Order: sequence, then C-alpha cells, then structure tokens
Amino acid sequence: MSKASSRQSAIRIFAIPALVALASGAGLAGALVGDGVSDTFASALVALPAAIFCVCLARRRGR
Amino acid sequence: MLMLCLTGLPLIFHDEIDDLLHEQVRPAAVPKGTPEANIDQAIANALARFPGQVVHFFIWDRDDPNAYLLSINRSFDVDPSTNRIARADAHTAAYLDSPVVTGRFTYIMLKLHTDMFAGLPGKLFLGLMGILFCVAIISGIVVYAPSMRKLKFGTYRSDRPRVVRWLDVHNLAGILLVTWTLVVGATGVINTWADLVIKIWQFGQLAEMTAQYKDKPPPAHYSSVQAAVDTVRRAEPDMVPAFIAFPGSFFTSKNHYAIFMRGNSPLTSRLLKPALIDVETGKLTDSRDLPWYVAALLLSQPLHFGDYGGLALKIIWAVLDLITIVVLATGLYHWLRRRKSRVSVERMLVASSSDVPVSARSA
Repeated sequence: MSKASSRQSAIRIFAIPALVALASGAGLAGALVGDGVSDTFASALVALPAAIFCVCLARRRGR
Repeated sequence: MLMLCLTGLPLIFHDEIDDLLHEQVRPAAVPKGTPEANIDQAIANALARFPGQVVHFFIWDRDDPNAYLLSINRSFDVDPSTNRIARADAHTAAYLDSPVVTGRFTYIMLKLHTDMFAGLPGKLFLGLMGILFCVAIISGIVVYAPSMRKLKFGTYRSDRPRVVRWLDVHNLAGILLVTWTLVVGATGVINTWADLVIKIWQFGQLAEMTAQYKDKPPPAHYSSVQAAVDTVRRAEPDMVPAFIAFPGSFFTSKNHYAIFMRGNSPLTSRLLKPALIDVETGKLTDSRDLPWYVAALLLSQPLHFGDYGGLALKIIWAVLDLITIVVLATGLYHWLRRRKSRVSVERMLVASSSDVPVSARSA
C-alpha cells in the first residue's frame, strides 16, 4: 500500500476515540443521576476505556 | 501530577483503609425503623467528655446512619480545620469515641493530595497544576492526529523497540481516557477553590439571609436543637438533614442554627439547602437554595472522588487512575528522551566546529 492511500482523515482517526469519550461521559453523568440498575450500566460505561486498553495490548500487533 | 495520582489512589478507598487500620467503637445494633436519638441529648453526652468545648457542626454520617458526628473545638475563634470529631450513637445518644485522625496514613495522603501541608497557597498551586494538566490533555488530543495518520486505532506494535511500544501505549491510553482525566482534572481544580467559593457565599447569600440580625446582640438563651431540626423537617418534608452549623461557627450567624438539608434522590442528595432557625425563638427565619457556584462545587466533588457508585465504581476509579499513571510515566519517558537527544545533537554540533572557543563548549 502506498503512503498516500494509507493516510486517514481526521474524522476516521477520531471516530472511535470520540465514541469512547461520549460513552464515558454518559457513564459518569448517569452514575450521578441514577441508582440501582442504571448505576451498574453507567459504571460499565466508565470502565469501557480500561477494557479497550487491555484488549488492544493483549491483541499485540493490532491490525 | 504523578504525585497527585499516587496519593489519590489510596484516597479512593479511604473509608475501607480506615476501617481496616483503625478500630472504632460500633454503635448499638438496633432493629430497622428505630427512631433517631434526641440531638440535644447526644450533644450533652459528648460535651460531658470534653468540658468547656463547643460544638461547631453536628453531622449526620452519610455512610453510617447509626452514628452522629460532632465537630468540636475549644472556642469559635479557632481555625475549624483543627476541630476534632466526636462520634455519638444515633439511636441511644451515647458517646462513642473521638478518633485522632491526624497521624493516619489516609490523612497524610489527603494533605499531600490537597495542599502539600501548605494551606491555601498549596491548594491554589495544585489547582494551577490541574489546569496545566487539562491543557496538556487537550494538546495531547491535537498531536494524536498526526501521529495516528498511518495507524489504525488501538495499534500496539509489540515487536518494535521500547520507544515505539511506549509511544503506542501513551497514545492509546491517553486518547481512551480523555473524558475521565478531563473530568477528574477539572473537578479537582474546582475543589481547590472550595475555600474561596465558601467565602463568597458567606459574604453574599448568607450575609443577605442574616442581614436583619447584623446588629443584634448574641442570643441570651439557646432553644432546643432537636426542636429546630423538627421545625425544618416539617417545612421541607422531601428533604433530610445533612448537618447543622452552630451559632458562632463558620457557616452561620451568631443568632442562628443553620440546618443544611439535602434532597433524597441520588443527584439532589449532593445539593444542600440551608434553613436558618432563630436561636432564641426557635422560628424558621429563612431558607434558600444554594447559589449555582456552590452547587457546582458540591456536584464536582463526587465526580472527583468517584464515591457515588458503590465499591464497583471505586475500583474502576482506581484502574483508570493506574492507567493515567502509565500515561504520565510514558509521557515523561518520551519527554526526557527528546530532551536528552536534543542536548546530544547540540554537543555534536559544538564538537564538530573546531573554531568555537572552549568557553562556549563548556556552556
């Protein structure tokens, strides 16, 4: 693959990070407002970045 | 920042650590629905152990409904941060204990984390560091784009040298944690302004609420605290009391019990509404919601501490804190490396040009 065609646009670079950022933001706010089941769900959203981090490292050479 | 992350880590679990390291007298076990003990009685019992002392604040322990907390000191002229806490049984009114917290591990961590034992200047300094931390995160987002142009999201080149591997770790962890680090960083900065925010409230809203008492002499006699609490409970049936500030203390006038009520939903329980009771007549004189800047401070606290979603959220907070340490450490590694390489480049240039005087070389 040539250098030019493998370059990505800013939108593609930030697509996943933006989704993760939104999810954790929703989780942080949701845990503050909710209680019980919604609390658990919100906590899971807050934990999402940590989970993705571990998966990416475990995957080794990510492609 | 590394220091803040390291001292913050044990603070997430300060309740659990204190329980583990320090014995405390347990309140009596009572069946569910046992009515709360009379507050005047609990205060009298506690002060009997500390003759001549005064109560600044009376607090309903958020984490333990079986205990009342009394913040006491020898007078009202002292710095309230030197108050000691006495615990009382919330059902029998019996005095429990008065733990000395200043030697505790969690206390030392807390002081390092909030002001480095340097008072308000220390706090404001750490607040400034927090602002720089947020700026660094945003600049990190900006430089993330060029370094990821040719890489897929989540790339970790494990077969490359350490400098590449650690760059991948730094980029990946940094971009994933953007929201959390920004939220914890910004709310931490807001917390460093707490003293100032409270001062503004005292000279603003509290001064307005107590304006008509400004020139009155101190009360001749003190009415029942329990009756004052009952009065406020009747006025605010959907709220529960959080704490009482006693006349002469920091959060009220010389003529009022200030009873701070909180809501009963997860969100409104973080917000407070002061109700002022005339000490002599026992009548409710004023009650207002706190202004937005105090509400912002109160809401930013749980978002910084991570103490609002049970033990699960605390553990998640700790994991994210550890990953932040990784981001800081790998960032520091790259920064030091770049600095070192720049120095060596300069040295090489100096060494290669023979006409540079010796004095310049050593500089």
